[in-house]
Amino acid sequence: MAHDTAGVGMIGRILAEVASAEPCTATVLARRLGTARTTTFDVLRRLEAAGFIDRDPQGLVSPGLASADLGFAAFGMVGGAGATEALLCVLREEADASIELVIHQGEVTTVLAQRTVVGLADPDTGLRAPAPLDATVWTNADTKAILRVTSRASAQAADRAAVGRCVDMVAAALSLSVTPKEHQP
Amino acid sequence: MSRRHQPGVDLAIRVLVRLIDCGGCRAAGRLGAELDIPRSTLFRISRILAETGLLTLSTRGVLALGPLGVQLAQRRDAMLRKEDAERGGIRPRPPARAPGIGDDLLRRPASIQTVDCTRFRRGPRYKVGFANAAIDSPWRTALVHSVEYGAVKHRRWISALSVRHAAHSAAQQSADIEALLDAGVDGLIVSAVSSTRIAPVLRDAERRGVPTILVDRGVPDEIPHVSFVTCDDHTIGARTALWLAEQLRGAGSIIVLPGLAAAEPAQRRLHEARRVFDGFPNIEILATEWTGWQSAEGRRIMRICLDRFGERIDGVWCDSGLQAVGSLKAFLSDRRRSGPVPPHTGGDLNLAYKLAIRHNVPLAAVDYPPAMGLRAVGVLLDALRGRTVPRRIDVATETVVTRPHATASIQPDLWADEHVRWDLPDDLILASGLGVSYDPRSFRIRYRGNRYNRSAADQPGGAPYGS
Repeated sequence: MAHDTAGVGMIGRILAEVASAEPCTATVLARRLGTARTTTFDVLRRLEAAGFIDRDPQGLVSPGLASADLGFAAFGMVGGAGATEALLCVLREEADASIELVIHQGEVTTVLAQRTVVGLADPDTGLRAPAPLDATVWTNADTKAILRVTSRASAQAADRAAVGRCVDMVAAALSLSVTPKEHQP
Repeated sequence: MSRRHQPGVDLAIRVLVRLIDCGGCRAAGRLGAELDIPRSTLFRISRILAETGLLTLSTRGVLALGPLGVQLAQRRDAMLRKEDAERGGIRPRPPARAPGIGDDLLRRPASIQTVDCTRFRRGPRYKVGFANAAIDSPWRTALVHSVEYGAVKHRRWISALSVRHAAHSAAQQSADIEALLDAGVDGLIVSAVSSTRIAPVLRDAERRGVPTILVDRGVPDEIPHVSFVTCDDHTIGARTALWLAEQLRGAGSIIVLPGLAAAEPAQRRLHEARRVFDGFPNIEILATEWTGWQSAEGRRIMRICLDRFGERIDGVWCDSGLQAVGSLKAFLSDRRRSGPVPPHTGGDLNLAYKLAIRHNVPLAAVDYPPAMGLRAVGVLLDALRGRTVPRRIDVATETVVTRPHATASIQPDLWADEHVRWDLPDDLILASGLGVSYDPRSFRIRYRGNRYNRSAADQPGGAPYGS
């Protein structure tokens, strides 16, 4: 039986709009894309059911967890997005430091997630934040995901050592949440 | 074999989901076979998706996720950062660090475990129920205020809040939770009276798809729950005990006044304090008496201790200012004593700091923040939105010491004179997360579920819907 492909183009256009602009309602989205409201609403409903978009009580559309999964899977990481969202805040609290999930792929570096603390440098002493600590979360032939932690300038050496232990633990927990991709495409 | 007709949109979504599951790329032939999609249809869909960067198509017939996915992930992260800032997750200044912070995580493995809440995902707005253990102390009043404030702060997401107090009765709390479930709550916040006795009703809640967030009290291993929002009792027990031992230069006789015997936080703090005191062979524990976190009980017990031990008491360890205030009052009203009031521990309550500063009593405390109520509301919303949440969340707290009584190991985040609120009532619980103008006596709040802007803390049974 033939499958119609009507509306498929809408998926890409809607997600591209959601990725590039502030959250907006379905009506605004339909107006921006120049598409029929009914079609837009229908595609949004299906994307929402699959978790690619979320809608808040005011109907504002934003990327859902499955959209974050798309980004992680683009680097070969399956299932790490949810755990990253949950644990980066925990690590920021424990380490009192700014945290980034950085992906190195060939020559390209991408920051996929980050949580920050304010005031890394110390204005009183003029000290800059120390060099960041890295812990590997996941690696394959050409891709490496690392957790990068930048402590405050005021952090003592003992604190930074403790932060190092925190980072290693969280990186290990994240790596457990990532399923290695199947080898054969 | 006849293939079931599916709209192209659904097929495209299935393609994306499958590519996520298999790590971002797949040979077209294999993907088509796995999804039971004709090759021609798959190529047509893929070409359309590739136009916007959702997919890339290689000349060797391999489909891979494209750069748009990365942009979406980054946009979502930016949105979460904004939410994080709105929730007050970004600390304005560095705290003084407890020694061995990295080891705290080692001790609390649940903090780095996560729970996928996809099964609880539902559309807004949500009805929330709070089953509170009891309303019998200023701290518990502040906890209820904090939950209510959370419901108002997140009113975009929360349609109604119902609060019930169980008066320390497990049977009552089970009945409360059943009533909340029957009233159709979408999510529960529970401060558990007895973990074993309320476990069955919370298992029933989970079966109904209602997530439970434990706050303050509960044994996580015994209760079905999504996340446990608490404050590290180890830190409270160990740091205050270490301060007292160092304040006494490792030698002296002390009275130990823990909180409520039936409450797990009190047990954990006492355990940690004893462990620390065991490391000081010249510290003698004269008596250990449970106070129920009640000021009057703390005062009554300390009067008995003063009659019995008199001048031999060199220090008093309390896990909270709720009973420390009673002990301080007993010392201050004891006309037989000639020397100063010995060092005490235990904060939370404004009066504890006022008395310590006014009468030059060395005091150290690690506040147990009622702000965990506000945090629990946020975590419950995350669970209902299908997000992944940490299994355990420890709300940040601060070490407070009267000036100049810092010790070698215990340096304060705040001096007591910076923390105390002379302008606010004695029964104010600090670290409520409700802002600098929070006054428990004039606290008024409006949400769907209460009446006349009255807090559920002012009503013996709480504020069920429509009360």
